[in-house]
Amino acid sequence: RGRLVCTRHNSASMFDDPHKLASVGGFLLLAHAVSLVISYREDLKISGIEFAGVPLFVLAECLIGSLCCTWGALGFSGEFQPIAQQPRELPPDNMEKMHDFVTFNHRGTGKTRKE
Amino acid sequence: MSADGKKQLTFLDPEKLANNARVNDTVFQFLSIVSGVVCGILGFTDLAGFAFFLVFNVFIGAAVVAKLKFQHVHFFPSLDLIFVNGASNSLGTFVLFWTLFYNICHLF
Repeated sequence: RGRLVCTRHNSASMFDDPHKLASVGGFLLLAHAVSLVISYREDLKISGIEFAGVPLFVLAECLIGSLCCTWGALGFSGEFQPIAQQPRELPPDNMEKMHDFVTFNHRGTGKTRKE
Repeated sequence: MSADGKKQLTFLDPEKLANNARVNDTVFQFLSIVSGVVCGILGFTDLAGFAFFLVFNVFIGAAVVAKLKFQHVHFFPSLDLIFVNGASNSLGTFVLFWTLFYNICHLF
């Protein structure tokens, strides 16, 4: 007799899904970019220079983090399904066998009634 | 339109339409958080922030269409159901995270 093999089709934890891991990694990159910008602004305050824009490496981290989050979101959000309705076989028409709804008291009885 | 010029009816599955709308909404909502965070980090204010939101949403919509292998007609009746519905549902989330992370990075 064959053995009963139990397999997990859905990822039980976040670490099994690469898309979720990519999203978490993207958010970690963005968090690191936040810390970099905060320290950069503090350095500008100390040196008395006005803020003109974020450094290039912060921009690169934001870009890479956004791309990781985008790839992850497209993966874990679900699958798109074709919207065209597939033709399906209708159940057989068995109304003729439904004797419960047969009635003999209808307008046609007047034609066959003998005077 | 068929080959002889007559209009043909296409029957759509409402459950799959709703599923695709839900998945599209999930993608846009999640990435609106990311776009708000990035916009706050970069220090955009006023109209520049909303322009960034529009550009990022065009990128998100293009990513969704790319995932559909550029055959969106098989998954959505029209293209604006991807772009317009997704962007309109995620504007509030974007503004929330934009203001939050701008305050964290540049004010406090």
